[in-house]
Amino acid sequence: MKTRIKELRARDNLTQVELARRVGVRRETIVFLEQGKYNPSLKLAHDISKVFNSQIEEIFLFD
Amino acid sequence: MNAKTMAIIKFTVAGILLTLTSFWMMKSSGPFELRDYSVLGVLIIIIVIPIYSGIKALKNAREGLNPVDELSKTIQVHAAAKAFHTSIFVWLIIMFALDFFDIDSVNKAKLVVAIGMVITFFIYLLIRLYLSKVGIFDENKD
Repeated sequence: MKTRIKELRARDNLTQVELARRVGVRRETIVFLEQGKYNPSLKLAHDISKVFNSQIEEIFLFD
Repeated sequence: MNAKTMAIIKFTVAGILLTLTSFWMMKSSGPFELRDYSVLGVLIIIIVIPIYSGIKALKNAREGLNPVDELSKTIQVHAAAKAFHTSIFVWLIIMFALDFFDIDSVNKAKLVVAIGMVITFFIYLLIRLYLSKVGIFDENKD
């Protein structure tokens, strides 16, 4: 699984800490998500998509 | 539980352990033997872990982040499951290894349980540390 979190963060000028704070997780979780080393729960994926004002499938890309 | 409370609990646990270790060192008579150094090494590791995670929890609190989230919970579950699986073999190995020592059966049973628990706990911590560094890769992959 790949994610576009890093790209969208750069677009919205958000730091990893700021995004982590907004979705209620630790910074490490955002790091692993960006590296594709963790599959988020549906709730976290939903929360992240809300932050970026996008659809879940636009952020999380499955091969 | 918020990050600050969690950090305070961890520092308190570390403080109590540190105090008990100091008492033990002051009360023990004679020079330390290899066994004493081994116990001291284990105690230092046990004291350092809550201090380290307490500092991390405080850092998270300062940044307004959650100290525990879904990834940390998943890592805990994975580490506990793997440690439990390994513990079955650890207990078996210790049981046979203690046959080489002259210990009566009651004390042997106690030792198997005690050593098994300590080793299982360390395996759990190691796996947890490893997963915290590398992450949990795609669980849906075949």
